[in-house]
Amino acid sequence: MQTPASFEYERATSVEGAIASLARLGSDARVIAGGHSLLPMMKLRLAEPAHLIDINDLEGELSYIRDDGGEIAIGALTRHVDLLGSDFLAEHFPVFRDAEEVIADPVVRNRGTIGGSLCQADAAEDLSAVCTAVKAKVVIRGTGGSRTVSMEEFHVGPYVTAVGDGELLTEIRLPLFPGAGSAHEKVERRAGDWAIAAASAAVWLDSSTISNAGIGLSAVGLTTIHLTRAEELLKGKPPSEELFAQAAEIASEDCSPMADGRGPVDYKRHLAGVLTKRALSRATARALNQEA
Amino acid sequence: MAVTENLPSPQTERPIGFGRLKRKEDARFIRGQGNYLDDLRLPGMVYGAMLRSPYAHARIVSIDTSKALAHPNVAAVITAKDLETLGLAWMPTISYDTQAVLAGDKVRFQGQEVAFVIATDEYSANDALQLIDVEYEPLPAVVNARKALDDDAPLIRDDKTGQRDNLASPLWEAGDKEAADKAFAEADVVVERDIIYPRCHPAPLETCGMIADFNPKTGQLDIYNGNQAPHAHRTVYAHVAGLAEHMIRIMCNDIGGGFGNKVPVYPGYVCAIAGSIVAGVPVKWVENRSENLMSTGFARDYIMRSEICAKDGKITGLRVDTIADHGAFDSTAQPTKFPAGFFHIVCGSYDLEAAHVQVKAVYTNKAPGGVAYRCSFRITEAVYLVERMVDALAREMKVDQIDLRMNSFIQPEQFPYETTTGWTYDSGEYGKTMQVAKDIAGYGDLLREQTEKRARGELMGIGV
Amino acid sequence: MQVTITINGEQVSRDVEPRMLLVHFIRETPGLTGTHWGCDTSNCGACVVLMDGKAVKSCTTLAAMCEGHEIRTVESLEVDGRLDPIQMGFHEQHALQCGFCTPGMLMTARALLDENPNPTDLEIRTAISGAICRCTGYKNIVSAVRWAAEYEAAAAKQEV
Repeated sequence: MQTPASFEYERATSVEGAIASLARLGSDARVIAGGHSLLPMMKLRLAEPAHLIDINDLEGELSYIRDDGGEIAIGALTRHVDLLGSDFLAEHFPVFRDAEEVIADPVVRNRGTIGGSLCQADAAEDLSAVCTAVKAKVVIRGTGGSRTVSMEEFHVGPYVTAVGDGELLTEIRLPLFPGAGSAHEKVERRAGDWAIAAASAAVWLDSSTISNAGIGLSAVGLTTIHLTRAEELLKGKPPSEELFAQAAEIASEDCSPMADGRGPVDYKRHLAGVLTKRALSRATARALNQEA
Repeated sequence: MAVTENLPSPQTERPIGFGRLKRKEDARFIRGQGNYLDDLRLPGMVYGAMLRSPYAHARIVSIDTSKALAHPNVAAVITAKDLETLGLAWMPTISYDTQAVLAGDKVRFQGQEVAFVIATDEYSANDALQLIDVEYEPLPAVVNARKALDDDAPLIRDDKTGQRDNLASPLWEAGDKEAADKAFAEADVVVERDIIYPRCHPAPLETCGMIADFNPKTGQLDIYNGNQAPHAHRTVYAHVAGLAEHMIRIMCNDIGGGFGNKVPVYPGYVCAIAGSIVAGVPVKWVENRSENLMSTGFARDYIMRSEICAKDGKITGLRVDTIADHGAFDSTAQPTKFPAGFFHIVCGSYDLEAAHVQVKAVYTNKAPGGVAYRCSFRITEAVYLVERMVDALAREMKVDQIDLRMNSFIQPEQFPYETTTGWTYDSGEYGKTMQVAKDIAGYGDLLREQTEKRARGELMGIGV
Repeated sequence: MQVTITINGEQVSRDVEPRMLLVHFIRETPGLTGTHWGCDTSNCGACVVLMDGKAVKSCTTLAAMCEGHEIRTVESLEVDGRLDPIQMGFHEQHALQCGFCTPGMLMTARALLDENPNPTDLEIRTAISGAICRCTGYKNIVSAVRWAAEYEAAAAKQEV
């Protein structure tokens, strides 16, 4: 088996302590939680951090899913298995359960965390699209305090996020508005694989019109694609299959997939469209409480 | 263990032996007490790791091992130059070709072995790989077997005297070309197809590896590894290491899957042996999964252009022209010189008037091989080919795929039957067997279901 | 650094580099080579062990991370000469051939049954989707887990 290069290791005993270490060590340090994105990269020697700060002991401070005054707050260290199993989260945002069912495998999900997935910022990462669709904001804490950023600001580029040296992603916040429905659609080569393409969609219905919409695409760009043009198209209109088909066309046009082992460009564009349409349909059905 | 129950009668559901005898080997495996290669630790053992080429085809300008040698846990770094002094830089393959143990003049496939590090532990050995500097001069590569024999294709095996192209073996033929041409000329229907069987990999869950333990005091070489052909390997090692066969012991304890992948002799094995002979301590080399997929015995990779013909509703002729891609070195695990399995049964179960088959083996800048994955020796390629061609013919003739087969089967009274490619089938009742299969599968119902589905625009195929 | 991990109820303490992976820490412990490895990419599941009762991939876990946690390996299943029902199920249902994936499958199945004593076939298949078998085609592994579930349910009834 391939093995990682050497590094220094410390176990954080508090969030404060983790941040202090990150600030002290600078860009040579990486946080490790579940490690199921970072360690494989380290074993393949694609990442060689000089210092690892293990935050697994911070579940008390950083692992939770709770109702927090008009928003759902998810701690960054919340494991995939807990996101999958949360009925509370599934009730408000079933898109999370959809995505978790097709992220990696159950054993990996026992360790991997939402914070780790978002911070790894692989364009094919599912939760990044989910968070984009549900208009999530993320909380980043540093020595100077906390700041909250949108998903657009969070996604800087492939494997790069807005979390800077000396900072730690601590929380993901999901705004709660009435009339919500959401869904995630993914096509992959085999069970548990990265997406060839995936689409997350959320709609908020106000009587019979779409008051707001969020669509995020995985694996069809350098980073998560936020379909703002399609969202604008949907706002204020009554939902219909024709409308979703138009949104699907925008999805195919506005993504920028690259040809690789998972598929050629035209196929990925095609998938982006089809999956966007399906995600919108299911999200709407859920918003209307029509889907079981 | 005596079986004391009464044997079941032919009327009982399960065939004889099913479920009544439990496996003896389970006792250790379910307890995690299997004895696989990597489980074994010998006193004084050191660890090998292999540096591999990132290029498919490149000249090696220089190899600088000094930084790796300076690593405190590194005992040795072996390159082709070192092996040359031992006469071990090249080794024979099971298919009468030669294969570089470590690349000397150039690398000929991506993943080819370039240098072997020996260190006190596995992690240090992996670290040391990054400390070896190799300067490459990339060359054009050919990875498409159909282009391997083009006039402007780069010459891969310039190490072989007199080799002027990328042909890996003489042309192999079977059948009768004249008779086949006649059958095709007289046929009612001719169908032509490219039947491509891509390269795949046996990927046993346990990768390949070896512990080589040479005792300099006794001259005995003990080898431990998962091995599907230990006797053949012993002969190769005797030949390559200059040891008498009776001084070599190969112990294959438990093996985590082979599927053909553990048949060939790999450079890692020879390097481990060389390391042990020189250092006088056991050397363990275990490849990782990337190495296994990138460099070890693949399966298939046959590109087959085929024609099939029929007259009066019966299949009469078959012509096949195959390019077999063997990668950079022909290390096919084939006991016979020619693709026997392919020729002998490519006519399938059909009473053809004539057939002609030819196979050209080519070199490409890809991993060497291939192997009999699930023991095929090219039988899978032949079966896939003939049955696909029959399906294509049936579709062209607009007849049922089973009816065409029934009309073309070798009849019971024709046995023993010599095929036009020179193999004798001793017995068979193909028509009767096919009818039983049809009945069990409910073929008529399947056809009805297919018609209904297709009328609704749903796709449904029936595989025979 | 000194790392102490509780493995199968016993404290195992060694001086290792921080980068030592749990799978290697386990395999270098005398008598514990039952946990295997088979890939570079955390896919194959040959390395699955239980950490605080949950199935984890020991090739993607640092030994250092496990200090203060309980690790169980395949060697812990048999107790005082009595096989765990999951082990019996694998034997009864011919759920192994080469045996290389078997420890990972056994531990995955043990964790499943501990959490869900009566899983559906779909739940069994989902649970073992983190482990690869190249020999059996999975069908007998699923029936082995089912066998063990039924065995344990019957045993529980008897006790009550």
